Amino acid sequence: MLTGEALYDLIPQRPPIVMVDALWSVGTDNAVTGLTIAADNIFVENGCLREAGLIEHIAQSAAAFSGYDAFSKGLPPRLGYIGEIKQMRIAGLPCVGSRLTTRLQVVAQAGMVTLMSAKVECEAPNTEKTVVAECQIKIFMTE
Amino acid sequence: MLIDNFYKVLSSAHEDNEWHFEVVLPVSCHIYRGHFPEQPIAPGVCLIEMVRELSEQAIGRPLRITSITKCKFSALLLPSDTDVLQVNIRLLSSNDNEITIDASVCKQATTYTRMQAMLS
Repeated sequence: MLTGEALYDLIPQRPPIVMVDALWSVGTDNAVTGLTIAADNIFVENGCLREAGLIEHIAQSAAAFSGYDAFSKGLPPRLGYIGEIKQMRIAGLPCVGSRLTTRLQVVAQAGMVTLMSAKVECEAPNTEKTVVAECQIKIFMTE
Repeated sequence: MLIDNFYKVLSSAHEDNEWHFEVVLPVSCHIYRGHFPEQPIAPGVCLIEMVRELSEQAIGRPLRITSITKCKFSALLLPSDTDVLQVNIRLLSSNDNEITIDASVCKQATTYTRMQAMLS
């Protein structure tokens, strides 16, 4: 649906910290995003994406979801911040070349605060899809 | 250090199951080119990575985060070459392959981040 630098219309982050490269679908309370892990990703160490990269990918997926709403109204993306991460499980660190697909679901929303659940699946070349991370994330948006 | 020049450790201290580090977050770190172009703000995930790396240093072996029970970001943290931050890591439990920590990043009375996590 939207890939690569087209995402820059939806999120305020810029290189070297852009951690989402696809917005596959957006609903009123859900979205599916993606990231292919490049070798030069700043959160890659010894060929794998570290925990911080996974969490930033989830946070920017939430930013893209919120940004899409603003974008569709002709507004620039707003800054959003992680307020809280809860019940996070990280099964493994995905390797360079794998593709992440992330499903976000709004759990609750009040004013500028959105609580979402996220599930990150990883597809490495020649292997089956596995869930690498799950969490609940609370995002604060600025005016 | 995964993110080059994100933090600089000024001092460290250890007693019983607690470790204390004093750090600064240099404004020259390249991460601020993108977070954000017009307003440098320390990325919360970089604070999580800093706590993970300092936990490795404290425990003395490589550690991977396997779960985060809760991680709260209470205030925006702006990088500064002079503001000294305290990173506190308390070991709540440990066995052969997994540890549980309660960590915080503070400046005097302000707590920026508090996290309970398991690492192995």
